Amino acid sequence: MPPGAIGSQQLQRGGPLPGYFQPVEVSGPEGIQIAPAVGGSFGDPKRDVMTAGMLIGAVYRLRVNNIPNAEGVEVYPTVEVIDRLYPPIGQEFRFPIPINLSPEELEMAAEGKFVTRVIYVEDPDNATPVARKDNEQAYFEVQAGDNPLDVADSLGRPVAILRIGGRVPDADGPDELFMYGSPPLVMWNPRQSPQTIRQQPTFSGGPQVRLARPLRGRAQRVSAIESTPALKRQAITR
Amino acid sequence: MKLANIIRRGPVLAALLLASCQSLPKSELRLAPEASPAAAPPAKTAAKAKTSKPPKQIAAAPEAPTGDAVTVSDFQEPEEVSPRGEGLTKEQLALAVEKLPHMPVEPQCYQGHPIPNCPQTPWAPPGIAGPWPHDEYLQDGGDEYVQVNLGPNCEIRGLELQDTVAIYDTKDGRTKICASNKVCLYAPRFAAVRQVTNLIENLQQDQPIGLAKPVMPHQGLEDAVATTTIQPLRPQGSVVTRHPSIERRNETDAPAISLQPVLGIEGGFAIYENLLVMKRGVFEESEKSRLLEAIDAAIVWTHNAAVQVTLDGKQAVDVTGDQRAQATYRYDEPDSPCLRIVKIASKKTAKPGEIVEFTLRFDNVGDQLIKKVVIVDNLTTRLEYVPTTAQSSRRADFTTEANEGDSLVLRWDFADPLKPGEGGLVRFHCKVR
Repeated sequence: MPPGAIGSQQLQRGGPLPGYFQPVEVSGPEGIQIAPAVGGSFGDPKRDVMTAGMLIGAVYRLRVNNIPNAEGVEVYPTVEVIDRLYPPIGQEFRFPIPINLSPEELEMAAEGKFVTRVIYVEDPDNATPVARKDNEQAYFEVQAGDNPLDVADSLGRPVAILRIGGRVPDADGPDELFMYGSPPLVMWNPRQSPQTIRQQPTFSGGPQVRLARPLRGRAQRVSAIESTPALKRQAITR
Repeated sequence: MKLANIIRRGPVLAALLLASCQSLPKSELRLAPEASPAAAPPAKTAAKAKTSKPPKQIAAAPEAPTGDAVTVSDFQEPEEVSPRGEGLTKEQLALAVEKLPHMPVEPQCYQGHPIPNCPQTPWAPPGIAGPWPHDEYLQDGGDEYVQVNLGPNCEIRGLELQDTVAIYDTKDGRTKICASNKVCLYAPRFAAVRQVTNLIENLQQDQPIGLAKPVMPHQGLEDAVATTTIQPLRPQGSVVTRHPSIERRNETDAPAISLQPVLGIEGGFAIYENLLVMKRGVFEESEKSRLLEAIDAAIVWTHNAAVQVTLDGKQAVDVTGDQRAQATYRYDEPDSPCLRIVKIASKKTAKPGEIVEFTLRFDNVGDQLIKKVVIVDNLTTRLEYVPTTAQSSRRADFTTEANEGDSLVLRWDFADPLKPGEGGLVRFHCKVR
């Protein structure tokens, strides 16, 4: 299914999904730079790890460069959050959805292949009895004809979809369709002083996005970015 | 007949203690074959080897007093000691603490059974409106699904992953089983399903099928009123503090107080164990919110200044609920053995690789001596016991066995009987997988 289709169906089912910014942690090999789509262009890149709150159902385009052993190569993955987590209050950003960009997958994307990774929450009753480190994420490989979402749904509860490869921006710069409308994003930077809230300038002049629920605990720097509803609809329907 | 001897063990305590009691023959208790290492794959048999070693016991601490040796006359108050212990050295203070269990203690506010706060309401994460997915929480403790029972040879049956139970013999030869409360730990773990597609594999050419069907434009115009409106709902962010009890019991039965020596546990009590129920086995109302956080489950609180009711010359218990207009009075017969077991964890959240401490507090809240107390904790798949971290405040034989979840069954066999009012602590560390 195209990016955004599954998340938009999740929104239609109702429940506590619309308006919730689900923290997501995108990480990669050491030295990698990750920049999210902000206001029609790519924002400040984050080194090694980028943590942000993402709306469920929206599609977020990222730019990944400075890849080790592949200097000069840029990859443009997308992240789609299709379900939320339920951590204790104040622990939202301590338990984000981990999305790991492995060197192998980045290399395959640079070669023109398309990689789909469905991240799911393991069922503790059927978890594999293997100790893991915090940043490790096991994965199962499925064939090209199989539906990875179906397989993930049988193993646990899918929460996010990562797609790498496929499209690259036009030579004259990324257009709005490529950026999926640059949906709102809540950036997280634990190194900043607490309680500092910055709202970046908007490119559409529309109303500011308001958080559906207050972020407590260790949320230390929050910036909200908005986009037009028309662009979001356009992006989701593609 | 004395009123104090009439008020006895209470209703089924779903959250904190154990209720199911069965009359079974007593003898050595062993795991049933289906839960024993013999049933596991051969590759794992090495890990199942029974490691019999005494718990990290309290080497520097004086041994906890055993039942028959304790008399009131054993206690000797230190000379010229201020009420707050000022002017004492650490050794003197330790000696005084050691002596504390021997003191005759006056009943304080409540020494009876803990009472479940809301017996029919399942646990849910605070601030989250249901339904909520259970896959992000690790649960340990209690006795779910198949109830633990003993086989003809006194082997333990029905011990599933996550179960934590205590088994003991009564003075009249019965064997009883009681489950602990359930501890919920937020520790989600993620995995992924990956699909790699080469773009060439998706190349296909569509050709017209050769059928031409002219279609006339349709002139019908229909204005339909929208019948469906999607109204986004904001998440419920309100935090509801649930009262931990809808049930109140008045009991003046004294023996539930148990002053256990702090020196029984290496390093004394941890910060998360700074609760009277952990230190002395006494529930205080002021601690209920902290205890709720510690066990993330229903908790008890009591009150000792309500109306007393007698039925047929025996003191009764007023059982009330918030959904009922009437009150029910009941009383229990004396000579009811009862063991209370409470389980708490040092953290509410943990990531893979982190260490979590678990503490089990058990007390004889009955009115008779109980013997052969055995505590069994069957760890869930994602909890890995950290070797050599088991401690016990009482003399116990600690053993481990592999279970079907590639984790361990922890078992403490207490040799000394528990007199009414006595109790103890066991503590161990687990690594979150």
